[in-house]
Amino acid sequence: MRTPSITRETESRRHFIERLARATLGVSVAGSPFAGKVFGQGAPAAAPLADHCILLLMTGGMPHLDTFDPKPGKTEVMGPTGVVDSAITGEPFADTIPLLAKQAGKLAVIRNMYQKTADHQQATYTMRTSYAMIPSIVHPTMGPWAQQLLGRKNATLPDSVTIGSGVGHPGAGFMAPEFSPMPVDSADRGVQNMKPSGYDLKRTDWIPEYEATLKRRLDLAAKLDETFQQEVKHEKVAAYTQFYDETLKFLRSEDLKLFDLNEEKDEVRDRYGRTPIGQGCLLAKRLVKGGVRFVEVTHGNWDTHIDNFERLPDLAGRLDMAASNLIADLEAEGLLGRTLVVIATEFGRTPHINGNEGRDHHSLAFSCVLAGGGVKGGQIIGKTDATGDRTEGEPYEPKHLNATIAHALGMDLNKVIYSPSGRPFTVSTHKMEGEKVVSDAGPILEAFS
Amino acid sequence: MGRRLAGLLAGCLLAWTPLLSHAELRQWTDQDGRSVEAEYIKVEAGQVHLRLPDARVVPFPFARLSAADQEYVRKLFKLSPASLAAEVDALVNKKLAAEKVTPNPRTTDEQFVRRAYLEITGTIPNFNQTLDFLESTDPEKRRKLVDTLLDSPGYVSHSFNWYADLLRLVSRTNDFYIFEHYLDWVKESIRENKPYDQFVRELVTAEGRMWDDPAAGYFIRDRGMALGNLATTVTIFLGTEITCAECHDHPFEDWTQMDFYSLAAFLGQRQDRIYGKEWGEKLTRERGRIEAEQRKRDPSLGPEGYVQPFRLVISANEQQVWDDPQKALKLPNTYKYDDGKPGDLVEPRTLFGDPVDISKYESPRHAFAAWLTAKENPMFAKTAVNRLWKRAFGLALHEPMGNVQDIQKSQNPELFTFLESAFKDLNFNVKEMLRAIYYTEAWQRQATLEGPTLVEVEGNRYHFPGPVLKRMSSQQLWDSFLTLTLPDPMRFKRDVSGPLTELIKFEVENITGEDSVRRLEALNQLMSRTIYNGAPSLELWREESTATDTETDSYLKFSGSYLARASELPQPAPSGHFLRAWGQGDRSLVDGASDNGSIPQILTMINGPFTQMLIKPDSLIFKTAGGERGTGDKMEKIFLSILNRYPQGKEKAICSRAIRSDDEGYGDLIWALVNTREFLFIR
Repeated sequence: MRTPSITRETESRRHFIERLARATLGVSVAGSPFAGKVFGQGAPAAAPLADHCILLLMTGGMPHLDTFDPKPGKTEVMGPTGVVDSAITGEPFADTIPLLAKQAGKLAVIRNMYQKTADHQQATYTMRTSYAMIPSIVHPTMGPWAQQLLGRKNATLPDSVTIGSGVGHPGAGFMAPEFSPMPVDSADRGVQNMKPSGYDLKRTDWIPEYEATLKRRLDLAAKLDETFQQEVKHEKVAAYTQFYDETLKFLRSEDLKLFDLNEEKDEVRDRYGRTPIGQGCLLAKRLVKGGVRFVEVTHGNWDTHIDNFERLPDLAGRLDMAASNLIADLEAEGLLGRTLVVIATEFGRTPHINGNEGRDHHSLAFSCVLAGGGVKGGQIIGKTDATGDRTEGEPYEPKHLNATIAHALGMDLNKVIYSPSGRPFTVSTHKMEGEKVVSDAGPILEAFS
Repeated sequence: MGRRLAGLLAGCLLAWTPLLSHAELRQWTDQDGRSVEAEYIKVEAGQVHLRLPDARVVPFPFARLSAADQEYVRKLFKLSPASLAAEVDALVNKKLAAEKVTPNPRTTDEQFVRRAYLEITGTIPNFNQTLDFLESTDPEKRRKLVDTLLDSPGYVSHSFNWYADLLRLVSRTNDFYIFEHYLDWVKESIRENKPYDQFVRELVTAEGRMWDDPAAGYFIRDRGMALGNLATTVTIFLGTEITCAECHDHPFEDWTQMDFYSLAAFLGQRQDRIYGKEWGEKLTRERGRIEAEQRKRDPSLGPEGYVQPFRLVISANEQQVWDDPQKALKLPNTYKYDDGKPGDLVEPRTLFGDPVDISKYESPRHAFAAWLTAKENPMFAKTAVNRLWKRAFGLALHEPMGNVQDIQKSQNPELFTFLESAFKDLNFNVKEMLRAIYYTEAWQRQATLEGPTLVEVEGNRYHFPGPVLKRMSSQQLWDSFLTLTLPDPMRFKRDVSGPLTELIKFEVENITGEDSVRRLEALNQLMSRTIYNGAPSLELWREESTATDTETDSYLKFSGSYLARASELPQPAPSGHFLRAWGQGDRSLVDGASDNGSIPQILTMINGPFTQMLIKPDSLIFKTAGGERGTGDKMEKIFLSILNRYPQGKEKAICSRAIRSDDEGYGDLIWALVNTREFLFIR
């Protein structure tokens, strides 16, 4: 033991107690005065550049050479992948993403991304949280961070939503459950159980009957629960009564329709592509328009150890169709200026083409892309060497990318938030400066105009 | 002589009583010098009950035993659950009196039967179990129920959920990194009531593959994160938070990075997979051979044929815990303090307590395990009883449990100290410790209806006038739904480690291409049946999958989810499962389960398929409501099934006005009762 201290001893306990109080008081309902106000205060560092963020996460490892960082003419690393001119003069994209190439004037392509690990799970975790994965804690993802540092965005809608993220999303990490993103497993189906099981939903006349049944049953439940609720005036019990009210409000609100892609015309849904990423992007646009702050859409299966070139047109094509329509529609609807769109992946893939016509994991150099939300489009940030094997100069890591998102949304990078056990964290990794905990990564400032 | 005393005792045959695992077969002598070999069972009304080697249990007057035997009995008697419970009650009541706090009223029988089943076996009692207890006139019925439940399979299931949250148990971390053996071992350890210290020692000292030594799963769970595994070990077993010190001196505690590394040095040789040049070459060679054989068998095999997936199976065989004598822990590259340089070797040193002489142990790792679990370790027993107390009362004596700094800063220091020494005297017998706690009047009181408030927790001013009001855990809620639906929810137990071992265990040089294909097919089949599945598919509920029409199948399924207890489903349940919505953690965090509310939870109750499952006419609750047993009408039986109490007159009136006396009407009543707060909370 190096520095015996008495005053610091109670610090961790105090933060634990704060959190316990929040749980005990059951204040995790939408619109709670506690969320982001009493416990998570923190003034924005600067005037925010964006109000929303849509993160498109390519899981499995998107090959940078076959997308945003091709090496024209170098067939030994490019294989059959060709290039197309992009809207940035002299900077072609791979021919797998022609639509995004046309929109390059709105994109800032970061080509010098770097990760310390080439393990899918750990690298994806770091991309979502900035931190390395360790067993003793789960770090929060960017949506919960934004809610924590900036406060809830609106009363009834969730602050953040994940679409198709599946198992293993770190969610709110150590933060209280009210910061958890609302998970949507499939954009086609919307929020789980948002429609009642047992009704023929293809018919349109179920709603009045369902409403009548629901009302009859809820009234009965309320009457039979009267004695208990009178005798047990516990905050937790009251909180659940409030949750029932909130849920019914949500079910009967227009908000629910935001999650329902059936509200969109077929023509629009087709335009994005009838794929998880396509419908995910369309849902993300709807949610952002409705006021949700942070939406993550996952597009998987990029792990092309085998038959990379056979699979790439489809994988990249889906992204191309979805993301280009997303950006175009956001712009057409006047939302792009205040919505940061990020295309990220946990790592790239090797320039070397393996014996199975595939590419293996490559964390030493890869590309991510920014658009909208104050980003200066039409630029390339950083570069890789002649074969796309290594970055040139200081690379950027996931923590810098997340610091960039935080910066755009107006989060205070140095604001310390404590885990239940009293451990301090900041949004894009931390370090100690003497006894002070400060941010360990700054934003990629050149991305902004 | 022995024969004569045995003869004297013979004929007084008594019923069996639960055996204390700390009792032993020993020589007993009476005041006339006659002796007999027997085990101590209990003391009752001045009689010592002894079990003879032929299993007969006989009483013998305490006063006629030799002085030494009387002393022995006195010591054991103090450790009997009734005596321990009396002492715990005395200490709780003393504190309540000193602080002028009125204890909560005693639970009614209706409240007690519900709580006992939920807290000991993880589910509400079913209709018959409720009625059995309520109608019993035995004055000892509460303690007898506790004894029965502690020996039931439900206790194993519920305890498993508790350990799963503590140890972050998962069924698999990758396609073929499967932890079934480890999970089975945890269940088996609970079933045999393995002493807690032995359980923890086995976790830390495990060696080999999981099918050889299942406890190896504890370390493989955190593969590639040995230091993090250590930090977690210290948090959960020693109630000490050193995690920050992995990377830098702890900002709020006194632990330095050197403290952390010195402790980690005990485990510096432990590896989680086989490696090395020789192994690598062998793998490459054998993979090539297997691939060639596979192609011979099927020349059309594409690159995505069997070879690639079978590589994963081979990788799973690489998972193995062992100590590499070539390795030793060094300070990290980023080390920046004055007491060492990056790359320096670190000498093993414990965090607190006595220094450890490594040379006395098989390996440094065994030395660490011995220090960790010793009765002399100042934190081990303390941390355990703090957790067990929370399990019963809903609030630990010291919060947070992972950072118990000072026992004096706890809700009841005297009680805490007593529990700690009792747990040591019981030789870390978890079930006996719990039995004593469940025997207490304190635990049999009603839950506190308000608070504890922030001030009470922070100022150590919650004096346990009764348990804290708890919301059912995700598992209690799910398992209770099964209790309402199925006659025997424990029918389906997960049992795949046996067939799994058969398929996955092999020596890589002995496997043929043919064999590799066969194994992979069988593995995929096995895993799709048991490991991958268990999620309610997000598809809309299909009419044909009802609760009972697949009884011939080995699992019952509803809306895509297997109707097995939470402990028998994949760990954790898949994202989107009922259990996850209600707060089952994803097992990446110690104590990661949550009892906070959310909108998706309420949606599962009012729109989700499982409430529909309850109101199908073939669910158990409908069958019992229409059955012979009980005095009242269907409505009364529905109340007894769901809330485990009789309806009040007022409620009867409400029901007779509001519901029709047909299936739809009773369906409404069932729906309404499971959607009350009374159902959700444990009073």
